[in-house]
Order: sequence, then structure tokens, then C-alpha cells
Amino acid sequence: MKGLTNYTVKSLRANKVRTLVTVVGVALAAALVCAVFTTFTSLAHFLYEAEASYAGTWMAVADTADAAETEAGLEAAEADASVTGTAVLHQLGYAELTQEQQNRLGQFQAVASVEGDEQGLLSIQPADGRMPQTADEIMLYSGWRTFEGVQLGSRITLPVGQLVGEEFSVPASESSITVTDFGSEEVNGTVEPHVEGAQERTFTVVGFYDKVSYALSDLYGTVALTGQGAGGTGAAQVFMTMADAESAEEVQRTAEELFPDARIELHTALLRYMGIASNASIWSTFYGLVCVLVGVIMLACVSLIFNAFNISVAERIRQFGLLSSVGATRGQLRRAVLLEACLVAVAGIPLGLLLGLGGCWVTFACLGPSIADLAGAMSVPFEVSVDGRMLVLSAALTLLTVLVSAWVPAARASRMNIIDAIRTSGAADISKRGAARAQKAVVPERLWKGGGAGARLFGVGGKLAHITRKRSKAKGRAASVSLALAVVLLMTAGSLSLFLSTLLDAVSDDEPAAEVAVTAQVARDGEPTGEPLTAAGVTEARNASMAAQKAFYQDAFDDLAAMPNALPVGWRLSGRMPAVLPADVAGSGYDGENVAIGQKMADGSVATEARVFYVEDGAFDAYAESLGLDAAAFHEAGAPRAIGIRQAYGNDGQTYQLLETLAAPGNVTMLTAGVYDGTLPVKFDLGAVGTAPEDRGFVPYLEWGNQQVSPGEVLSMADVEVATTSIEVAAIADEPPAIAGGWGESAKLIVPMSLADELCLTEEQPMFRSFFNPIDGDHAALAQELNDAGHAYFQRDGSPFEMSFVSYNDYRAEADSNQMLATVVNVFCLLFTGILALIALANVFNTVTNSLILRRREFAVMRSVGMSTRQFRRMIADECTGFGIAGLVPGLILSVGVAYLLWLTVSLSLGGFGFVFPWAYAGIAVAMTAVAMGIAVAYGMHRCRADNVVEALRTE
Amino acid sequence: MSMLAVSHLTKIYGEGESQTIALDDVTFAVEEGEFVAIVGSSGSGKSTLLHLMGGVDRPTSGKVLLNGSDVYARTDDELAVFRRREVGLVYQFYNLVPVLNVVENMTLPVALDGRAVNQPRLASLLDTLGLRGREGHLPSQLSGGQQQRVAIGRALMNAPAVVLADEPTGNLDTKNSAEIMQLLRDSNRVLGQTMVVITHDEEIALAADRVIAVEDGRIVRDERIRR
Repeated sequence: MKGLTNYTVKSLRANKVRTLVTVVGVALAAALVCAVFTTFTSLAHFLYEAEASYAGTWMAVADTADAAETEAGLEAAEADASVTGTAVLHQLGYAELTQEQQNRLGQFQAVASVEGDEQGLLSIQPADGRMPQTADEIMLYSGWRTFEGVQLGSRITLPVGQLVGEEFSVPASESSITVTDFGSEEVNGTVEPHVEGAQERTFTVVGFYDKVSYALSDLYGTVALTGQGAGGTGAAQVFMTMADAESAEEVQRTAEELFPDARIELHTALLRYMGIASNASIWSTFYGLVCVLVGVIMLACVSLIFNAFNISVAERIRQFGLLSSVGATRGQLRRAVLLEACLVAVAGIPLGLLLGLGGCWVTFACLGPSIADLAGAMSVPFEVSVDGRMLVLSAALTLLTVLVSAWVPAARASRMNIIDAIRTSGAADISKRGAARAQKAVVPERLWKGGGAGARLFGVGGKLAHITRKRSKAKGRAASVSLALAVVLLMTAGSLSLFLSTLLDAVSDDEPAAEVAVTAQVARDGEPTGEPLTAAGVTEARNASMAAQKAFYQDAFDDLAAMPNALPVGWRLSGRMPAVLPADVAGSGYDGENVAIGQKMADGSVATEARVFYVEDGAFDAYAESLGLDAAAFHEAGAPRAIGIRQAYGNDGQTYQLLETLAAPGNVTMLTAGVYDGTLPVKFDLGAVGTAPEDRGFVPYLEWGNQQVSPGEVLSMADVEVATTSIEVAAIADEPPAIAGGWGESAKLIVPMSLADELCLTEEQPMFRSFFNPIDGDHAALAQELNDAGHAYFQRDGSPFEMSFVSYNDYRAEADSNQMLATVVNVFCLLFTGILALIALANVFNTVTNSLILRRREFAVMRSVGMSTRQFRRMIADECTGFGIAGLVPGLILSVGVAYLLWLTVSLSLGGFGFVFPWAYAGIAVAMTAVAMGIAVAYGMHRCRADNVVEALRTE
Repeated sequence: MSMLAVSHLTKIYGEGESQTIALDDVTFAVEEGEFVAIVGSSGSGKSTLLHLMGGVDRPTSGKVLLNGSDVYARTDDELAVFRRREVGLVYQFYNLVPVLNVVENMTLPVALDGRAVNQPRLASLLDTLGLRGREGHLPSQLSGGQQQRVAIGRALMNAPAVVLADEPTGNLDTKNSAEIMQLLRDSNRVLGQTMVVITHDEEIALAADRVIAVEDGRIVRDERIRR
């Protein structure tokens, strides 16, 4: 066997480049498998760390009713070796907050003291100051700082007592732990909680916390922490962590044994990320994904390594014959090839593991902050987490891939016929069809004629290449298949990237006019009610309110625009208004059944909710003029005119897509007001009271109700007095002005702000949105400044309106976040497919160069009878162009299929965009093919040309 | 002027200690229509000499003159043209292109030269070489003797100035050897084809007009055969 080992090593050395390419292929395979597993373990580690950072490392919590139960449980926990840590939150009680405080912090302030490992187990950390140490010190949620006089060192008095009346029922199956989960639970029972036996207690504020961990969240808001010895109700929450727990059930069982009478909750998210929660469906998805990825990698690598060994064995079949003739057994020959595979694996796998870990390290270093940001856990870095077991698994899977790949060639080497093997000359294998073709190619007049485009382009070299292709067995098939695989992988990545961009574009349809916006809306009140009430009266009141709000928002905009870092872009008011579009005005988007954006009525007209945008006069005039319209004609409130936008996003019953909403100019009837029973204003919903076309249209309902009619109850249009205003849609534009956002989801009408002085075209209070760019480029700072300034302006004392809300949008940050998501997905996608494509290209290289090298004697013969270098080069170029085309064309065709399937999948949920073929990636695929073929040919030719003709001719 | 003249031809392979002198200052000339046999033991340098005469290798020093023109003063591409037009090479192991059939192999140098195939010559060669009926056969479908006939046909197709044959019968049985030698002799005598044949078979050598013996890269004997 030692002799064969030496032979194997020498064989590998004899063809250094093929050995190197195969080792690189194995290394890439190991790198990819390792990268997939490392990404998986890193993600699992990251999710665990993020959860631990957010909620702490506790695994179970017991809600005890009194001090005795708490003490007994803690003693039992201390005696239990499986419990490795505890933290106790002793409840002191609740304080009912003032009305002003309630607006920001909730109705009650829970007060508790903490004992034990509050940092690790409960993830409680002061953002400012320190933890309280005595009973008269307190740490508050940082939201308290918004109240005047609340700061570090200040004293705060809270009326702390017992909260009673909170009889809530939480389904036992929902052992959730997060604030949001808890808060969203259905509440049963009496809900009139109040504090009894309150005693005023004064604390010194020693710290503030920002992060509301589970322990610091409460049904009514946040928990204020004070030091031990502050007394309390005796009830507590005992948090525990355990070692060596193998299942969530075991954790639950242990906690129940320690606290038999307490309600136990598990930290299911943490247990899930630890991999011990039974309902770990997230891991099933991950495992599935990992299996698919590893499967694809192994398949691609088997193709490469099998091919490399197949060529290697074919090249040396004569040597195997000789070895066999001098006594090598079949087993020895098979083992010689498998040994070769093992040696390649031994060289490639460690290199691959290092490459995989290094690649992950670099990728995570670049993308880690983005991933952590996307996951909302900036404080926890997304880093490479190395798991030794995964490295061993990666190595084992790669070794398995190599051995599986080498098995068939090894078997072939062991089964060859000695005589045939010795006689073989390494010459081209002729196919039966090729021999038949040769028999026919004897017509004197047609000798050396034909040969197709290759012959015309490459002369006699092309003709020879053509003959080789037509007559020899398909040596380039493996190269072509590999190339096709590389092309499909690349194009699939391209299609995914393209569709992802399209999806992101569609999702972020509302193209912002600037980087930052401040949005506000007046609270919903002031609607006239009582008797007698007419629709005309309601309209008049709404018109007056609209004018007042316009003036109010104009001042607001001027105020915000005065911010030193703000470059004002403009502002708008917008709202929805029930409208009837005549049949000739309504677009085709309303034609289908179940369209979400409107109801086609019996007479062909369409009931819809128009979105009316009042745009600053200057911006409106510029927009109108850009469309070739007379802007001045739009400013007359007596004869209101609007510019309609042709399309809007909507659901045509199947897919979400851009639909035509407005087809042609015409008069649109707006339902400016409706009054029921002469006493109550009504609202209009789109809908149908029956199934017939005449039943479709508007459904009036009462928002407030009276003694006869409940709020929300559907009324008949016949019972409602309706006021209408006709507005002329004077022109249809393809695109809205930037300040009016994107397509929207309903018929969009653009009017000048001057109309707001006299005409209200919104059913609800109009939405104010103003746009600004940062002068210094710091959009985040500007957003914060504008938000503060907005709150200060809108919520100032003496403001004429009470606000429903004031908020800001940092569009730039949103766009960055979307971009980040796209980048992260694209980078992972491209890295994965890129490396797989590299493996496939290594296969192409191996196949092409070896098929050339195997024919070195044939080439030497041609050169000896007068083939020039140029002719030789042209022949090889033609042959390889053939390989390239044979891989590229099916690859591209298959890619079109894959891209189309992807498009179909995306179109199931989002329509309106046509099928787009990723031409750029097709270009890259062509370039990649050319480069791969170019390198393979250059190397193969170099090897063949470097041959001494005399030596090559002697080769047997 | 001799048709083919070899002047002080030296070929050294390798460098330093591994240096091998394959040919050492060899000089001789071949006249038009002459049949020359070059004999010598294995490794004596006779094949190297033939390859240098055929323009498939370059000498370390010395010249090869064909009709007074220095073969190795040519560029690589000019040498390729030289091999197509001026010489015909026949090898021991036939060296046919496996994917080409009989007529394609025979006419390959013509095709490489971009010229039309001389059909009467092709027909005549097929008849002479006994390959009629096997025009469409691939090398793998032919016997060794037949393959060597195709190789001779290829060498003769362009009516070269000289045919250089390296052990043309070395891989054939006695009957085929005799037939091949007869073909070469006939080419020489009937067509007046200048012929240089390498052999270590004294009997074959005696059929030539002249025998040049090479040993250790040097000519040790150069004698004409008197009949």
C-alpha cells in the first residue's frame, strides 16, 4: 500500500494546477458549509444575547402572594443545585398619577424593590445615575424627566397604596413575557382599578432607566425601583435561572416544585433561543433553510469534485492498467483514488474552515451593525460565534462530499480492463454518431467545406473545432453543465435582488419630498350637533374650521421653518372625502369585482374615497405650469378645480398593484356633509347593502349615535340629507407633485392651498405634513429638533386647537433602513451565489483545461503538419466558444424560467409591475462565461504551447 | 547545390549537469531524389536530427538549408508554412488526428494552407496506398498498417521537397513493414520523391541509396549503397 500511497502523492504533484483547483473547490465547499453553520450559530447567539440584553437571562418567574411563600421558595431554590441564580422584585404597591402624568406614563405607577442579580437576570441598568440603595431612594423611567423638577437628586412624592379591582384573566396558554404581549391580552372581569390605603411617600431620585425590561414593565406602565427595606405587600416576583435544563417543561417543573402555589411564567423567547423551548418553530425554519443551503452546496461541490476525479482517473487509466498488470488489486486501486480524495480534503477542509470563519468575520464586521440595527438591538453586537461542533460538522460534511464525489471514479479505476487500459492512448473518444458523420464526409467537393459560423469566423481552426465537437464524445458537457449552473445561480441572485428592490420601492411608495417631515392633526371634535342641523350647516362649519386650521398650520410651518438647521421644502394638508366619479372620469381600476379602492355603481359611476391634497400655492402653481395648465384658474373657490392623478395602488381582488383611478377630466361630486334625522352628522363608508349593483355605493353611519341609533350602525342613504360640492378635475397627471407623496391608495386630487380658505374637501380633520431638509446634513438631529419644536408649538398654552397627534418622520432614516435591509439580503444572497458560482467556474476551468491537456499529442500532430499558432489559437477559441455557448444559452433560458417563477410568486401578492429580466446580471453572466473560458483557454493553451512538439508526439 | 543541407547542426537539451548533447556538429547534404537512411542505436540522436530537418524543433546551433534557404531563419508561423508545404513527416506511431477520417487526415496540411485539395492527386494516393473504400474511416477504425499508409499519404499530399520518416515500420508487423517500405521506395523511385528514413533495421537501411550512421550525436558513417 505504501507504494500506492507514493504513487497517489506523485499523481497529485504531477498535475499541480488541477490538484490546486480541486483543493480550492473543496476549500470553497468547506468555507460555504462552515459559513452557513457559523451564520446560523451566530444568529442564534445574537438572538439569545439580544433577548438577554432586553429582558434578562431569567428562565422562569414565580408570582408569589406573600412574604412567607417568597421566603420558602427562595430557600428551596438555594438548596436546589439546578437553580444557578435568583432575583426578587418585591412589590411595594401602586401610586395613582396626576392627569398630566397619566397622559405620558399611564394611570398608575408601580413601585417595587429589587434584590439579587438585577443586572444579569433582569437586565435592569440605570441610564443615568445609579440603582437605589435605601428605602427612600428611587430610580424612575426616563419618561419622568419630561416633567419639570424631576431630575437626579430631586425629591418626588408618590401616594403609594394597594391596587384593587384589577381582576384580569390571562389565558394560561399565553405564558408570554413581553410588555406588548401582556398589554394586548384580552381583559376579563371588572375593570375599575383604583388605589386604596394610599400613603404619601417621598423618595430621592437617584437614577433613571431607558430600557424597560420585562421586570420593569407593568400592566399600567413602568415600575419605579426603590431600595430594600421599603416594606411592601409581601407579594413578589421571583426570577430564576437554571443550569443544564434540557427542556422548557423541565424549567416549568422545577419552578413549580420550588413555588408550588405561585403562578409560573417562562421566558419562552430566551428558552427558544437556547434551543430548549418545545415550540421552537423558528428553529424549524432555520434548520430547514440551513439544510437546503448545505444541500445546494454539497450538490454543486459533488459536481466539481466528481468531475475533477473523473478526469484524473480517465487521464491515468493506462497507468492504472499498468499497476494492475503488476499485481495491484482492485481494492488497492480504489483506495489509491480515495486516498487522493482524502489528501485533497485534508488540504482543502482546514483552509475552507478558516476561509468560512474569515468570510463570516468580514461580512459580519461590515453588516453586523446593520443587522443589529434591523433587529432593534444596537446594544448587542452581531458577531461571529464559533461553535466547535459546527466546525466538526462542516468538516465531516465536506469530507463526505469529497468521498462521495470520488467514489464512482475510484470504482471505475478498480474495474477497468487491464488490456483496454494499457492500449488506451488518451486519444479522443469518438461517438457512434461521430463515426457515422466521418463516413459521410468524403465527398471530394465538400472536403473541408462547411463548419458553420465557427469556420467562417475562425477559418480552418473553426472547421477543426466543429469536427471535434460533432464527432467526439461530449467532453465539454461537464463544463457546460457547470457553466449553466453558475449562470442560473448568478441570474437567480440577480432576479431576487431586482424583485426585492421592486418590493421595497412599492412598499416605500410615498416618495418623500424631503428628508424630514412633521405631521400633525387636530383632535376630532368641534363637529356641530344638536337641533336643527342641516347638511349645508355642517358643510359651512367644516369650511370655517378648514380655513382656521389652514391659518394655524401656516403659522406652524413658518415657526418650524425658523429652526436654524431646517431648510423648509413646503407643506400640505390632506384628507379623504367621499366622492362620486362619473363613468367617463372613473378609470379602469374600478372595473373588476372586489376592488378595494371604490365601488362601481349601477349607472357606471364610481363611489370612492378621494384623497384631496391641498398643496402650497407656490408649489401648486409650479406643478400646474409644469403640466402646461393655467395655474390661476385653480384658485377660485367658487368654481373649484383640481388636478387628478391617473393611478393609485389598490387590490383588484387578487393582487396589490397600480390601478387606473382617473381616466379623463370631468366633474366629480364630493359628499361634503351628511345629516341624519336633522340632528347628527353622518360619515360615509364604501360598501354595499346588498349584492346587486344598485346596492353598491356609500353606506352612511353614525359616529356618535343617539338614543335610537348606535354608533357604527348602518343607515340608509334615504334617511340622510347629503350636501355635495362639485369639483372639476381639469386635468389628469401621471405623477403627483413631490410634496403630495406617491401614488397613494385612492383617487388623488391636487388642489391649491388657497382653496382651504373657503372650501373643506376632507371628511376628517385634515392632516398637516411639512417637509424640511437638514442644512448640516444631520437628518436625525433635525427630526428631533423639529419634533420638539412641533410639540412646543402645537401643545402650547392658548393654542386654538387641541391636537390629536404630533409626530415626525425621518424619511432619510427610513430609506436608509430599507436600503440596509436590501443590502443585507443582497449581500448574503450574492455572497452565497457568488461562491457557488466560483465553485462551478472552478469546475469549468478543470474540465476545459484538462480536456485540452489530454489532447496535447493531437495538437502536437497538427502543429507538426503545419498548423500555425494563429490557427491553433482560433481552433481552441472556437471549441471553447462552443463550450461557453452550450453552457450560457441553457443557463440563460433556465434563468428566464427561474426569474419568471420568482416574478409569478411576487405577483401573487403584489402586482402592477411587469416582468423584468435582470439584464445587468445577464451581462455579468456573459462576461463571467467569457472570463472563465478565457482563463481556462489561456491556461490550457499555455500548457499545450509550452509543450515541446517533439516531446508531445512521443507521449504515449 | 544540394536540396537539403545540414550544416554543423548541434542540439543540446537541458542545462548544467543535466545537459545532454543530442546532436554534436552534424554536417551532411541530401540531393534531390535521394533515398537516405539514417541508422543508429536508440538515443543516438537520429530522431532529433529528423525533427530538426523537419522544422519541428529548433537547433542549438548550426543550420538546415532547404534549396539553399535557411529553415531556422524563419519565424514560427513561417516554419508552420514550411512544414505544410516543404516537408512531409511520417512517425512511428502514425500520429493521425483521431477525429478526422482518412481523407481529412491526408488533406489536413492542404486545408491548413487554405488551398483547394488536388483531387486527382488525392485519388491517386488513395489508390496507391490501398486506402480506396476506407476514405471515411477514422484512425481508430484502421489497422496499424493502414494508419501508417494514411500518414504517408498525408506526407505526400503536398508533394513536398522531402519526406522525413521516423521509424515508419517500428510499430508494424513484418508484412506491413515490407509493404510500407515498398510504398516509400516507390514514392522515391516512381515519383522522384526525396526521402530520409530513420531506422535501426539494417535490412531496411540497405534498401536506401545511402546510409548515414549516427552514434552519440555524431555521424560515424556516411556511405552510398552500390547495387
